[in-house]
Amino acid sequence: MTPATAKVIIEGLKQAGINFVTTLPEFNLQPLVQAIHDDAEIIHVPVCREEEGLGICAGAYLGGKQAAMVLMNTGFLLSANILTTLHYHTQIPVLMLIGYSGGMGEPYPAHTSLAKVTEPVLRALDIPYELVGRVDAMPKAIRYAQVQARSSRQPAAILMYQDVLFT
Amino acid sequence: MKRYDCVKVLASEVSEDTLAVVTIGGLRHEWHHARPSPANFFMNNMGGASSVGLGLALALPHRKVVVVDGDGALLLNLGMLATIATQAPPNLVHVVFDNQVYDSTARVPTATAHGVDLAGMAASAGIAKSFRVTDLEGFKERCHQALQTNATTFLCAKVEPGTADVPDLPVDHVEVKLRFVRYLEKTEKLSIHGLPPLE
Repeated sequence: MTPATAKVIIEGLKQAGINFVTTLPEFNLQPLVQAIHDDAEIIHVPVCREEEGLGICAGAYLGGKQAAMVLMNTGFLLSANILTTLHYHTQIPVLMLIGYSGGMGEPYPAHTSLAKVTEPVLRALDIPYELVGRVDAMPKAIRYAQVQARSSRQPAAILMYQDVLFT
Repeated sequence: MKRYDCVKVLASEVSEDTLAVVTIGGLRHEWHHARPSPANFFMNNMGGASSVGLGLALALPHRKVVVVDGDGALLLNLGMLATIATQAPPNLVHVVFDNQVYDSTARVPTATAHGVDLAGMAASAGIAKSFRVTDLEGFKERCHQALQTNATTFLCAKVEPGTADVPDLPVDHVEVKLRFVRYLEKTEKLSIHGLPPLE
């Protein structure tokens, strides 16, 4: 991801009202994580493991914030427990911007296995999601996903791949 | 020291508007019995109480937030010690009742039964006010200090296994969440269930 792409995403987050973001860094996500960190209007909480970040977002939501998490699909796969027992069971929304390791165009063989399970697990957890590969499509995708999360009081996800991750 | 005696002490030290995030297990029944309040959020999840408590503390920096946790639950989410230490919200008090067993799971010993020192780990993570207490008087004093001062505090109370003979928490987790949301909407004048504008 380039800083220019990160800027488009962060503007999309702000237009959707997001003011609290937890992150776990990864090479392609780092410009976005840095932009979130540098933004004075967003409370940024870096975490050690993704289940922390999703739980922190739940607490921030209960405290009136509009919360999102930036993570990779590896970390999403670690988080099925909290997404089910906390968010799904007690109707707490969270927006997830998930970097799609192994998505169409993945250059590293070691990451391709993740693509086999990421979308099936999203469907199994009953989490609505949208695949976004074009940078200019991100702001609207973020806004609709956030509206969906809050109206349904459930998690919603955007799987970021192709141009969004690599340009 | 008995956990319920500590729970009653902590319940007597918190203010009416202190928010409490409570882990799953027998502890939640004791907490509800000692401190029935819409300001309690009972987790339907093991490990996540410290995460939810941190999110609340950061979102509402003027409100005191107490995490009522257990040793097994904290061991499941240990990275939170580093995350809490890094954020260091001065309104967060993390209380761990360490009975050295997975009490709801056939009383299998946890790592603390083998000497793992949770207060030592919290201190090493960078939470300067981290304390291990083994007597009720000391627990009361540490709770009082933690709730009266503005500094992230970690308290590990060494307690016996077992849950007091109190009635079960009579409400469902969804009901708990709605009640907590309505309470915060009212006391903080927030619209938690409101929607963002489409355009």
